Amino acid sequence: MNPFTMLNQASFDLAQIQYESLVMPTAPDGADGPGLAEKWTVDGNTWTFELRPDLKWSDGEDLTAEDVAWNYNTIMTNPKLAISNGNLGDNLASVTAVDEDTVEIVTETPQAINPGKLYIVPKHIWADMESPETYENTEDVVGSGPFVMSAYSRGVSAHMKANPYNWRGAPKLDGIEVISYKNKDAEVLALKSGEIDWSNRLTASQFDSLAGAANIEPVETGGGRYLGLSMNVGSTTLDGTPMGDGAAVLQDVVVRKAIRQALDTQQLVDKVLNGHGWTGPEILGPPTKPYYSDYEDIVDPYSPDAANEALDNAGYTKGADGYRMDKEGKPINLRLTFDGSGAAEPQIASFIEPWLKEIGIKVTLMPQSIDQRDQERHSGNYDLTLNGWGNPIDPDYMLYINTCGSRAPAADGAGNGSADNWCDPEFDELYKQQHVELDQDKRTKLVQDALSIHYEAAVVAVLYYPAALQAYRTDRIAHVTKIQNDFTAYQTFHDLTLVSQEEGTSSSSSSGEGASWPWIVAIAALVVVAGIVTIVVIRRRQTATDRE
Amino acid sequence: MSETELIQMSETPGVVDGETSTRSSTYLRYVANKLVGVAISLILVVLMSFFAFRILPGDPVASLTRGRPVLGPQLAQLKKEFGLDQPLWTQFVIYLEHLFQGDLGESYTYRAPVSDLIMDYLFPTLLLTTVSAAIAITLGLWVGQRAAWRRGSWFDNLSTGTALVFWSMPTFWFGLILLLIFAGMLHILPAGGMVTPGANLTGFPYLWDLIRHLALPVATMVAVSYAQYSLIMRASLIEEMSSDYLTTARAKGLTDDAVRRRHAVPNALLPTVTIVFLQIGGLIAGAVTVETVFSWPGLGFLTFQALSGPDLPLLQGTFVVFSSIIILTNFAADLVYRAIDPRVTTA
Repeated sequence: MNPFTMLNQASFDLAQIQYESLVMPTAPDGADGPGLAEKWTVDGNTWTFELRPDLKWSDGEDLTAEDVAWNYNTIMTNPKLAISNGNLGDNLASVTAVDEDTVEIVTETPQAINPGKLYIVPKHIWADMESPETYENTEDVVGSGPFVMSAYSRGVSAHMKANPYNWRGAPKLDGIEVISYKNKDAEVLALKSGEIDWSNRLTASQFDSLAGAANIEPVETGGGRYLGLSMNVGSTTLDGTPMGDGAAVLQDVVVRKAIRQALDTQQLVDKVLNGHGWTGPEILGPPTKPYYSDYEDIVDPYSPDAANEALDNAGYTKGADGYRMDKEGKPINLRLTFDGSGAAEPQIASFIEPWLKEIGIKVTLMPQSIDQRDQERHSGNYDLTLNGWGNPIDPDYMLYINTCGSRAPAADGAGNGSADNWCDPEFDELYKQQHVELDQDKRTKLVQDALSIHYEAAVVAVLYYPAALQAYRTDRIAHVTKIQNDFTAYQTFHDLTLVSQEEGTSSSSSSGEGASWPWIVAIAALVVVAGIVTIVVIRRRQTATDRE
Repeated sequence: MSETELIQMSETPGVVDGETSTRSSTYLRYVANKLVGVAISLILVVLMSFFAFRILPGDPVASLTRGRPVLGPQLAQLKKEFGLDQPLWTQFVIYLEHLFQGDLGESYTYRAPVSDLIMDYLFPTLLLTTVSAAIAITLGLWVGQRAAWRRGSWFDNLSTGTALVFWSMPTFWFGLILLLIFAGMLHILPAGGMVTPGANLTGFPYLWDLIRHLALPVATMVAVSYAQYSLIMRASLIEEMSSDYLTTARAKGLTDDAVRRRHAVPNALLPTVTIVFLQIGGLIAGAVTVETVFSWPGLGFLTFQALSGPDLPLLQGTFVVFSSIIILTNFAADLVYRAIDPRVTTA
């Protein structure tokens, strides 16, 4: 759990509880709110953060502006330690501690995204290390969050103890036991039997199986991701060289729009997500208020008839077998690649095939491993592919992955950061403008204008936005704060309140000697096990803390 | 020529110095021969492990950062850190250099040394497979010889039938059913893991906790694997039962039980032992499924996880460890076979 180099989800989950940033997502909708910083001002390229007074680390040492500045300067100067924080350090010019409680962050160019989202670790622990990038940081962790890891058993569990110095006051629990289950169904059984008290990242069917179970409260929040049917518009590399082997017929926007109109996305929400999700036109879903829009002026509603008509008018005639031909008279046959290891994508693919047959388009289903599917997408070797992205509350990254500059540097697809290998200079212009726009209303308009262009280009047919599903035991936990768009809710663990032991009827089998009570047991699915635990929904999501 | 003899023929090294050779010198030569084979296999495994996994599709760096806001420079930095920016041959040379220093590299996903990971996960796997194998072999052999001795009896029919039913069950499905019954409905056994996290038990309570966690995974592994032992034992004992020496033994006035225990079973064990050793490799492979179903923190699970990515150093490490275990158990099988079958030494 090294906050500089971690890459797997479990580490991010654990880091969330132990480290805090200057600004943090706050209830109810996950907007930037005060964290270690009480308030901040922005003037052009300069952001000034005022720290809360008397902040302390979990070992009792003072947490000062010096700590904050050291963290930022570290990721700016040491590329080995810039791994976990994505693009956070990209636009920074300088970060300085003005005085004990004031940090000044100067960016290279103006940006709308608050730069105060880096987890701050204690300088007095990390600064003198020989090679901090290899430090595993699993025992006696010093942090500022509500809980810090005190013991760790790899692949088994992490023991988190309360941090009495947390600025919100000492947490109401003594600690949390984060347990690794490799088998999500077993995890649900453990929740039902009271072995554990909290479980997150549930699939729709697991979630529904908990409905009505004694002492269990299901929690449904906005998950902040979309899953879409990506269509190969004619992939190109950064310099515009065509790459890959996408079907030529998909370069016609009429065909792409027809395909999108043929998809009954509400049915996918009902059947695949058991209703736990939403459908909508664009890549930012309802949880991303205020940026969400239904684009009612330009939206093409679900209508196979309209799609058929459009294809007829465009000259794609049907052959004797009911399938259409392209303009050269060759039969159209599109490959649909998807992640065959999970439950959701094969199900979705089996819906899409007959829907497209209805508009005379033949589809060949090609299940692949998720790694292979991504590699083919990066190098443009696909026609249709299922592809999802998590959207942090700030829309910048979601737009960025659709800009020309995010495309692959070379035709082998290495280093390709583009969602759908699409490029439109007009979209890029709006992306740049919203990137520096600090006025919320103006920025919202710019984002929605950019996405209107994206919608008109029909690059991806958005299928749905899945909800984040969790559940906890009401005989153990009395109070939970929900944050929309936060998948794990670990963000709010400082706020958990336990039912007192007398009232509770916990059947936890683990009140062993030496363990302080009351315990709450939470779960981190430390791993995503393909085929058993994997839900595609997990694979690509980002919590509110995956900073953009 | 019976199957048993065929196996011996193939197991026996070609040259035996006839009458001048003492038993021990042939035996030593036999062991030396086998050892050379072991060494060659191990070297091949090490070489293969490097190239085999590089055929897997997927870009480790892209997989690792999937869904995170990562830009080009960080991807390049990661590639450099993992040494993936070097030509394949350079990577291979570095791999060998590190290997000779006992360094298996660093896992991409865990960001920790592979050797540490393997050490952490090896014990649970050994515990699970050893306990399961011991129970499955004992149970299988006992049931097999009982069934054969009373061939066609109700015991025979029932035990053979049961064994076949369990053998035909998919491991993961049977495991889930057990979970559902004992953890989900009855709440008498835990739903996963090896010990109760955070309980910090020691001494007898710890042992009891471990046994409760072991119960279901072991039951699953035993159920799906004991059938092969019992069926082989049954078949080879039935073959022995028509032998003349048993008639002789009976004629000497031995009790039926003594004839079975002292004459028939030892001979019938020969082909069975070979199979038992050959199956140990399979048992370890079977652990992958069982470990995943029961969240057992073992090597099988680690391997399974390393496949997505792919986490090359971790895959190489687990592959080398698994292969070594199988090569060494096969070597042990050769030695044991020589030791228990005197006929092999006097070719």
